[in-house]
Amino acid sequence: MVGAAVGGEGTHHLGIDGANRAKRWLEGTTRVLHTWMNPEDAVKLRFDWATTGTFTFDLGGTFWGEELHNKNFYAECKKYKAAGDQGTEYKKYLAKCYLALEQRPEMCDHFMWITWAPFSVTSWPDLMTAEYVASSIESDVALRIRTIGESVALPDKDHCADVAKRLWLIVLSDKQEVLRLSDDERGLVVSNRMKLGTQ
Amino acid sequence: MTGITSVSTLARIEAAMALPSRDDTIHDVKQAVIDEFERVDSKVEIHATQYFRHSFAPDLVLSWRDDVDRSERWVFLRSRVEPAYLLEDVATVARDQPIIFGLGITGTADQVSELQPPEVSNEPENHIEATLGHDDSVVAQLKERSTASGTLITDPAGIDALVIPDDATSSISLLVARQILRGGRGMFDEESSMETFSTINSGFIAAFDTGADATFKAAVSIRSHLGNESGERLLRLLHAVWIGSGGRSDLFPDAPAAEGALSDDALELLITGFDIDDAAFWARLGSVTLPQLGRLNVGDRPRNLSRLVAVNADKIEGRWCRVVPDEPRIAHDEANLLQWDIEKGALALHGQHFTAYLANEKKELDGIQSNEQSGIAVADLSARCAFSEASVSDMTASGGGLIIEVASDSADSVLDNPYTEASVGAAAENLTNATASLRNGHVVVCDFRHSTASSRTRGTLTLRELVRHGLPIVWPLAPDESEALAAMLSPVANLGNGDADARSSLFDIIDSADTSSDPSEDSTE
Repeated sequence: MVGAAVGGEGTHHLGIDGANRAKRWLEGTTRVLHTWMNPEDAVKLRFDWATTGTFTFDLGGTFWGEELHNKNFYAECKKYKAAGDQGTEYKKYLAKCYLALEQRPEMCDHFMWITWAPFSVTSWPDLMTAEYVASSIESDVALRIRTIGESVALPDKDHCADVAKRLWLIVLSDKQEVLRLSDDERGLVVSNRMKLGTQ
Repeated sequence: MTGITSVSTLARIEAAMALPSRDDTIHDVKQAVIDEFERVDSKVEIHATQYFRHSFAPDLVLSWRDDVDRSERWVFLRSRVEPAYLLEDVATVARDQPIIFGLGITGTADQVSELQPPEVSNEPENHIEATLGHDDSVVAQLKERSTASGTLITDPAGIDALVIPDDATSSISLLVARQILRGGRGMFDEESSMETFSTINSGFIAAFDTGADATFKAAVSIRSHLGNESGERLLRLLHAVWIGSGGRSDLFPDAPAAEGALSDDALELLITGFDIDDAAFWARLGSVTLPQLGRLNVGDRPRNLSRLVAVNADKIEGRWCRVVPDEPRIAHDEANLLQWDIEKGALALHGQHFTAYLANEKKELDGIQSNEQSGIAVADLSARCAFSEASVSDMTASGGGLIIEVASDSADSVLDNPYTEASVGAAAENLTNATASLRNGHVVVCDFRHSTASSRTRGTLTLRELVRHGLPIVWPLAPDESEALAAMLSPVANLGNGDADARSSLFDIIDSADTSSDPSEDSTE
């Protein structure tokens, strides 16, 4: 039913939340074919922890054009005013990327952390390194167990490096969301692609 | 597609959304929606893009071959159908007056959330909270903006409400449903879609019986729920049916065209719309002229044109019929041996090797190349006139350096006179002109060298007279073409001249009644 309201667990996703804004910003680049969001697309965003239970990313999708053509991505989106708990959440996100790449490498060409507020600024240059991926997994025993199954094992260095090279760290701002192609221009891009038969 | 219900469409969408593969989901969801649209309009062509639920790139592109209305409409699929999201969608994509199609999976989203709540909370700032889903003002805004922008917001149940059952024969319903798909605007969920569709349909049915209330309610509904272009066209059609059924134009609310005759686009809409195999319907639209038909763009829908012409063959007046040889044309069946069309700005009849063009004025046929040919033999003329049930009052032959004119000094045909062939002598194989008289007394002037039949200078003929009688005299029809013509148009009856004036259509009668300022004049009818 058009216009029906979502009740229960879904309600906190109503409104123009971070994932939805990230989705629109990504599509606004004209380089995204489709995206998948929680909660309606959870089945496509879900992975298993190494122990029990599952986790999901906020967003998934597929790029279009040139070097990104048909490449798949997953993203976590933080519509924050300030750093908040992003330092901790980012480490958990890296552990998720580690597992996701193990389980469905064909869908994990890129991992994106999209935020509206910088965090862990003293470590900023290191946030997308293999070492930071490994240290994030090792930093918390519970996370370490959920990621690699035991408390003393070390994450695979090569796999951490593989994760690291797929990482994106994007800091958006409200005004940046406005600085993009106008609706008319974006419409022209789409129309032209369809005329050319590329989409 | 037959037998698929809205429930199963929704079920198909839900099943597709639950698939783990992105590609499978996209394919299956789009196919379910495509099937739904095709159930409403079997003539629409649908292209699926590579996008899926994109903010501003369409999932589907609907297109129509005829160019009498918008030729294309984009469709945006949406999983999030809460008013706040839809309001943002309208703001983003309304520029192209698209269809926003809700996938109707809000229940599924709840279930997914319950089964697997997202582990990470975003702690979002400035949420437009869930209460928006219950905020009547947002819903009101959505209705207002979608209507104002020409955007149709619907879902599987909304589209399903437009589907005509397979065993239904209501061409009007099909036409209305198609117009809504092409030009509907505002919110069309199941309830509003059914109500709108029903109101407009009932209006058309009522218009045939000049039922004012339902007709005028339909007019209001059309104005509210269809975009300017499609709405205006449908309104003119409703108006045409109202007038055609005897309704008074001045009573029709904000009548789109205050004239009795059909406007060009209303007539186009009828001809290019769904097949209407109802002779009485076409007969009501009687005030049709050759110049108007010549202006129409009927695309590839000649069947309705054939019905219109056949039923109104005695109402449509013309003066000229010019036949030119054509590339061989292969008919798929006998019913299509002769086919009506609009070509080169004129009503045209295609045969297997010829095309006949009809016009009121000779200058209207200026663009039709006339291949000068040799004349025909007296024997050929006799055979042709036998089929045309015509006598020949005079004829002209050319041969041996002479032009020989032969005329009857009585009502008898010169072809029946035993001295005719001898009188024409050496020119008997080269008749260039003849004047044929029909059983009703009307005269067709025949020019064999230019394959042209026409009325006398100040006279007019009906389409039946020109085509059923004039055409076969000036052009050698193949036997199967003659049979097809005889089946299409019976010959004129032996009514005499006086009855020719009684050819006024329903529209003519209404027009004369409407325009008459003195009621007493009506009593003279």
